[in-house]
Parts: sequence; C-alpha cells; structure tokens
Amino acid sequence: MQGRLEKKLARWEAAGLIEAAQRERILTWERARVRSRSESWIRVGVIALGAGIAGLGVISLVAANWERIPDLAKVAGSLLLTAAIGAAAWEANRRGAGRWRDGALVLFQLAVVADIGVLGQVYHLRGTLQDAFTLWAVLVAPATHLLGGTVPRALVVLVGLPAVSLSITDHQLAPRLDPWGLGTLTLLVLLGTAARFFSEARPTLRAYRWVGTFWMAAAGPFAVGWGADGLQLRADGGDAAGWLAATWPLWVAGALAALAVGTARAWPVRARIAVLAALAVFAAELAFGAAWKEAADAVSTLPGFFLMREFAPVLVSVAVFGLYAAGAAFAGRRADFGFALALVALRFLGMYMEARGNLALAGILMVASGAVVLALARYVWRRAAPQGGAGGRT
Amino acid sequence: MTARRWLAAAALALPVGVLAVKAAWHERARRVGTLVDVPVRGYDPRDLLAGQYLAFRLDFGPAGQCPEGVRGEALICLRPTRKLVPGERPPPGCELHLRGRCRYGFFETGLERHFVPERRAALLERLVRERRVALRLRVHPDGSASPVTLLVDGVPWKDFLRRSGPPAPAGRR
Repeated sequence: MQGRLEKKLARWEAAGLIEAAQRERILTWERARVRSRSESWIRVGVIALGAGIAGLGVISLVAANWERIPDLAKVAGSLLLTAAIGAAAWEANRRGAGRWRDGALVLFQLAVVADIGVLGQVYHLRGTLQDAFTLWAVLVAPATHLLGGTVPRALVVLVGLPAVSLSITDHQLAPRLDPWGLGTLTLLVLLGTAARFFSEARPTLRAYRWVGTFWMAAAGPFAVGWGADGLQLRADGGDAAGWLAATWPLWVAGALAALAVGTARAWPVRARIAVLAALAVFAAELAFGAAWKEAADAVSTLPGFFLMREFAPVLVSVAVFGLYAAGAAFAGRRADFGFALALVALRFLGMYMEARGNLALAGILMVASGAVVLALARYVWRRAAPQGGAGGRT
Repeated sequence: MTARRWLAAAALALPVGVLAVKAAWHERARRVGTLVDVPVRGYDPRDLLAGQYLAFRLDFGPAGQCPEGVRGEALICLRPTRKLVPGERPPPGCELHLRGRCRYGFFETGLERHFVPERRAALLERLVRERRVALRLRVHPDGSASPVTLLVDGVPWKDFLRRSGPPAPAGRR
C-alpha cells in the first residue's frame, strides 16, 4: 500500500502536480496514520484473545454442568447474555467506537444463534437448520443494518440469503416442482442480484454489494446451466393451479431483483436495460427449458441433437452472462464485467469438454462463437468508451 | 435520544423479545393440556441417534399403522378408544386426539426426535432398544402436542439416571 502511494506521488511530482515538500508531508502523515492503526489493532487483538480464552472457559464450565441447570434458567441466562451483548453494542455505537461496535454486533449475532439453539434443545423443537438460520437472519437484520459496519452486515447476508432460499424452497417450491435444487439456486441468484443492486443506493451499503455479487457468481453458473432443462411441475403437483402459481416465490424474487436493477441510478439506463434483459432470458429458460429439452430429444440425427441439446443451452448461458457483462461495461464496473466474462468462458469450456466425439463440430461452433463474442465486446467497448466506462470504476 | 437511537435500541431488543415470547409460549404449552405417555420404539436398528437427538417412533399399537393407500394429514383419536382417522377432523365422540401425518405406512407426529445430552446418549439408546422408554406429551385441545420429557420405566429419565448411578463414558458408540 505504501509502495503504491509512493509511486503515485512520484508520478504526480514528475508531472508537476505537487512539490517535493508536499510529497514528503503526505508520506509522513500517512506513515503516522498507519502506525497508529497498527497499534490499535494490536491492542484490540490482545484484548479479544484474552476475552476469547476466558469466554471459552466460561462456556466449558456451563457445558460441564448443563444437565444440572434447570431449563428455564438455561433459557433466561441465554437471553440475558444476548441482551447484555446488545447493550454493549448500543453503547459502543453511542460512543462512536466503530470496531468495538462491529465486534459486539458479531457477538450479538452469534448469541442469537445460540439462543435459537437453546430453545430448540430445551423444548425439543422440530425444524430444519435453514429455518433456524432464516429466523436468525430476520431477527438480527434490523439491528445489523441500523448499527453495523461491513463485517456484521456481510455476515447476515452471507448466511441469510442461502438460508432464506432453502426455507422458501422447502415450504413453497419443493412440494410442487422438480428439481427443487434448481429452485433454491434460482432464488439465491435472484435475491443476490436484488441485494447487489439495492446496495447501489448508498456507498455505506457496499457489504451487501460484495455478498450479493458473491452469491450471483457462486450460484449463477449452476442455476443458468441447470436451468436449460427448465423447472417442471411434478406429476402429483399438489394443489398448484399451474406452473406460474407453483413458482410464485421465484416471480416475487425476480420482481425484487428487477426493481433493484431498475432503481440503481448509479448504473446508466442502457446498462440497467442490459441486466434486465439478462434476467428476462434466464426467466425464459426456466419457463421453456422443459419444452426445448423434449424437442431436442425428439431429434434423431446426432449433429442435430448436439446442436439443440448441448449447444443451444450454452448459447442461452452466454446470452445471460454476456448481457450482464455488457451492462457492467456500460456502467464501468470492472469487477462485474470480469466475473461475467469469466463465466462465459467457463461455459464454453464446459461445452467443449462435453463434445462427445463431435470435436470438429464443437471446434467450428466455438470459433464462430468466439468471433461473435469478440465482435460484441468490441461494440460494447466502443459504445462505453465515450462515458469513461470500463477503465474506471470497480 | 434521537429517533435513530431509539430505533437501534428497539432493533437490538427485537431478537431477545421475540425469543422470550417464543420460550414463554412453549413453556405454557408444556404445562397446559392433557398428559399422555406413549411408548417409543427405535426404527433404525443401526443408529438411533441423529446428532444430539434421539430419533424414534411413537408406538400407538395397531392404531399407529396407516392403512394401505392412506397418506397425508391424519389423526389418532386417543380417547375413548385409539383409532387412526385420515384427514384433519376428529370423529364425533372423540374426546382427545393427536394430529399428524401418514408417511410410508406409519403415523408420525413430528415429535419423534428428542434432545439428549451426549454422555447419556448410549445409555438411552440401549433403553429404547429394550423398550423401556416412553415419551410424555402434553396434548392440547386442537390436537397439537408438546413433548414434556422421556420416561424410563415410568419415571422421568433424569430421575431414573440419578437413581441408577454415574453414566457410562461418553463418546463411544
């Protein structure tokens, strides 16, 4: 970090933007600031280590006598401890002690998890792990959002998004749809997209942007690739009136994602249109993938089958991630552009590995596809360049 | 205090408040209703323990077997006679009923898991296999039930273990 700063200052001095004396004053000030931060981190680290060791000791003592503690005492003790940690977080926030506040908030989040576990144990409650973490996320989200810095906010979204996706799938989607895994991944991608784009409203929400982007990148390739077969209604699909009624959680999540994209004013209009188009292509794949698969299976010739069954779904994936990449390029978002392009490349690589004896055909199609991608990239870069797009922001 | 600080205080109190209400609700459910003791049977002879939970079947006798073709919502009328009834409505004359579902030919209430301390797990597992264990339930008028405790030879399991001496070493299964 210091090295990069020194190089920058040297460039500015060479360009005549600053004097040598200014460069020295800036460097001296920065070094003092870094030293002070290091010392406070060492202090915080030592205190955290000592408190952590003592805390583990207390936990061990309690665990050793767990059976002897009456149930009501377990519940009351656990809730009182959570309340005390919450009070500490509130006080740290009142005093403006950011790191202590964040540390207390993370402990508060862990204490709420422990409370849910204690209640489950004492009252022998049934329920899945994802339901427990969904309850946790709902309970801690308000305090985390109002008070928290980056780490507590990232934690609640990192754990909360997959928990909520799994819970909704368990209760609303799985009884009616196959495969339920695709339903979970789709929800995760859509909720991640919503979190990522809602974060554009303010710079202080960047924790949500990072975690939303993480889940988009982690779940997106699987959801879009798997989505080629479509989401299908089970033969004994419960009381669902139809496919649309059965998939309503996905439409709600999709509407949230679309709203988040549409209201992300930090992205230019054409960038938002490109991302919305990517969402629309993904939705069409989910809706019509099953019918496409049937049509592909009915084709008798091997090259025809390969084209319809293997290559066409790949093109859909490329369209989804390519549109996202285009939107990111128009908005000048290097990180989004990079990960979307990487997903396009991975999808082609996956298709190449699945060529199954049609190497010549796969080769021709990939050369043609690569040429199309290059042409599109050239178009996008040329259109984005006048707004100082792709080279700028991350 | 500013409005935002009040909001922050309320947000911090939210989890504690909600979980305290939840605990109070379950505590009340344990104390209100009719006590019913139901023998338990293990259903996986290899491993009755799923994590920290003892998993078993509630033995309602022949009434606990779902007739062929019966799936989904069902209930067992416990008084005056034990009888399985498909659907959600108790039959006329049934004074006490327990709701559940018929799955794979068996009636399940969702109460078939009970937390046990790890160092007691092996002993309790053996007692279930020896058919000495029952689950005491608090059955509510709407057919739901709350588990109260496990009974060993008719006695709450903690009292049974206190009378029978120190536990076997933990961690061996």
